[in-house]
Amino acid sequence: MPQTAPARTVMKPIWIALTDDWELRGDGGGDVAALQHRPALALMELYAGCGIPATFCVETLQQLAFERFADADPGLARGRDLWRETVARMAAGGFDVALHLHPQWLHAAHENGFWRLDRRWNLADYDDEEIEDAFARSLAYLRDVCRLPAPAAFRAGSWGACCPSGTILRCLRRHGIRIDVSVVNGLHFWGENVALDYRNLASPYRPYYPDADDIRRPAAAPGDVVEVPTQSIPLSGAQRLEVLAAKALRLLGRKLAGTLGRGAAAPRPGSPAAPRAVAAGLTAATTRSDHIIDLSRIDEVGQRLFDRLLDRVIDRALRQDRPPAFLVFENHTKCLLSPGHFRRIENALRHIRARHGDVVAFVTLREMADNLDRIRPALAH
Amino acid sequence: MDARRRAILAAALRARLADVDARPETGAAPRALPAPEPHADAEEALRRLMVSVVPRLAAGEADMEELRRLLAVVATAARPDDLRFLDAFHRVYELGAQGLPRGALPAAFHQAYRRLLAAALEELDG
Repeated sequence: MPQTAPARTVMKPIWIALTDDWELRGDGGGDVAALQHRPALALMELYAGCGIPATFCVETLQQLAFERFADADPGLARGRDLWRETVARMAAGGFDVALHLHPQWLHAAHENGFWRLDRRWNLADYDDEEIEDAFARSLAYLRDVCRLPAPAAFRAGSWGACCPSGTILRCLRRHGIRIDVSVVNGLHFWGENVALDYRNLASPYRPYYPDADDIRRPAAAPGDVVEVPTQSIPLSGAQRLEVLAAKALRLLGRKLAGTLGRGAAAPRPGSPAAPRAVAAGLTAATTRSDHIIDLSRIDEVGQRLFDRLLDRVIDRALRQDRPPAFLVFENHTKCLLSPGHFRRIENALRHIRARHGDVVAFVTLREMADNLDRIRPALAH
Repeated sequence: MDARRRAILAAALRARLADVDARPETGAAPRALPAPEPHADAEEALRRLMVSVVPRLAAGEADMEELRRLLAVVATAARPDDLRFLDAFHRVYELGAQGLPRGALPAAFHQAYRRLLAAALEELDG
């Protein structure tokens, strides 16, 4: 019988929101059943067993594309229906649903069994009308088709919310979305599909009111939206060596299993070539300076180091000003493809509970949004 | 436990204790929660309380008799060093403060909660 976890309580100075980006691959590849439905059910079961609430960041432009083509393709119809069923299970299970948008789906076409998506993966690279349309139609779908309450939080796909950020932030305000979690300190891409730089943020780990035009900068005055950075932590030199060692072990393991060199599938004949940005680092959680706290990539650093990184993130938050401290952790169901992934997540949660159960409460992004009056988001000095 | 962590927790417990002491139910004539059933399983009571009853409580739909019965079991098993049980009382108290009708939670709950808070604070200060 799984032990019941400590409940969310205002008595705890550290509030952790476990978020999961729920989506197919960025190039449209993958199967809803394998990459979304099954792992989401397993994750929900894991969280429910531990009594831990969580937030699914539901990528909705993909589903709108599926809806457009489902009548002509039974496979897409099944994927669409499975998406709806899974979201219904999230709601029934008491999980929070936040909005997640990967703009490459906005003008998606389905040809010869493959998706042809836009090559721009950063929402900030679209014009105002396109951004407003993406928000309006996605939120209408979640409200009218899925019968969900309006999301309280948002994460941009591929973390792409700048720059400029003005229209995105205006959309968040207009639609009553109070928290954005698109920013993660240290992340930077310069690729064909995404270019962004979140290095050296003025408020790298603590909530702040974002500047009207640049979501990376604190504003001069409070606003209606609060940026709660997804947590990351710098790796020491020794820890970087540990990461390299863990990677070498994984490669050795794959070589011994005979799977080395077969990890990345070559584009199938007739399919659009995979964007070069994938190779440029979108799949890498480790940036040059900071490691993203991503529960789906524990194996990249190993369980022990990941647990130590969690300790550092929580201890760092305890040293901050008055509680509660809001911490957002990342996850990707599309990467949870083996029992080992779930085992590592459960181990990490047990570690948090064992070492920090006295100070940590697990909450949803909606609960954070409902309690913004308890924190003091940073402003520009 | 480092000094800062201890100070943060102690401050939270003291504030909550003061809040609970200020409630009229706490100062009422001593009441006891119903005696737990023999062989009642505290883990199962805790799980049922947090997974089933508390969410319904938050939605205004809980069976108050079941709530009292489960709280009785949980209160009996609660120890200052096992946060899960104290956290269950935190959660129920916060729901009571937020939206339950006044007096929905019995005086016995507040008095049991007070005892747990005081014991936790003593454990921390000790």
